[in-house]
Amino acid sequence: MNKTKLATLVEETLDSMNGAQRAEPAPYLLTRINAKMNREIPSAWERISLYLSRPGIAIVAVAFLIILNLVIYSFNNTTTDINLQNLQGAADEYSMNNSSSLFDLENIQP
Amino acid sequence: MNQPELIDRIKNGDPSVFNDIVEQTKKLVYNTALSIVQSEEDAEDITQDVFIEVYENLDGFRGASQLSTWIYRITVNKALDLEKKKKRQKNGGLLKQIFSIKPADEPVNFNHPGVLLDNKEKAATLFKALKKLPKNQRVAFTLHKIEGLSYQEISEIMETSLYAVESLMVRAKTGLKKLLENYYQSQV
Repeated sequence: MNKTKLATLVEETLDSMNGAQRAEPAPYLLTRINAKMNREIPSAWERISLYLSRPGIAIVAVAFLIILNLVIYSFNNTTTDINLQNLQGAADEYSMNNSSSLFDLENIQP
Repeated sequence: MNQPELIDRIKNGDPSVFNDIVEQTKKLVYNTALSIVQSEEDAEDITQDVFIEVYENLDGFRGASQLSTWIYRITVNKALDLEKKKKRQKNGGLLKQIFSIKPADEPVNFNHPGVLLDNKEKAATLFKALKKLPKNQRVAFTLHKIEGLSYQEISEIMETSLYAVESLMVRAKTGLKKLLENYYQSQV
């Protein structure tokens, strides 16, 4: 396509809306506006439940709960280990696990 | 209906004033929205939303600007908001993209219902190119070339200077020319 032809085509395209008539909106616009204005506005709780029931939000919420459970579970395991270590430490400190060399419980003879 | 008479009717609480405003400006609102969003269904929704906002804020209208300027401004903002919302919905949602079976939507040719039959194809090409312009340039071009508004009126609607509107128009025309040249050259 030569330059002159291209320029003419571009100009014609830019002017293609010249002489266009205005489009008409669908009939009964006022009725539809009134209906939209009178439409019941959902309550705050309804809006919240609608928001939470969206698939994207629900999936994210479930994933969050699973992660939270995993975190709490692993945290509990760590604290159990620490408690056991503390107990072991206390038992060692009071020599509860060592057999006494002072008393022989099986031989009660003096 | 002239402006002072209209303001008097609003101040006096005339219930029929809203109906008259709708009747007189519905084409203006619908056509502006239609040119921006390029969808008859969306333009209908925007038209309703614009008039609901007009109704809710009519008491506050004191005639600082022309009523049509105010209504044009609401329409442009609503149309751009809807476009932004649609773009967000289209781009957003990783899950939607992963589980989407349908291929990504191709832009559909928009045929303005008021265009002369001879110009239908060229007008569709123009609207396709318009979609690729930055929004300010697109709004300025639409209001001037399609709605036939003066630069002064556009500057009031867009709340910017006359110089800025002139600049937007120059950039819009340059951008459109480039886009259209590329389009027609690729068609050969």
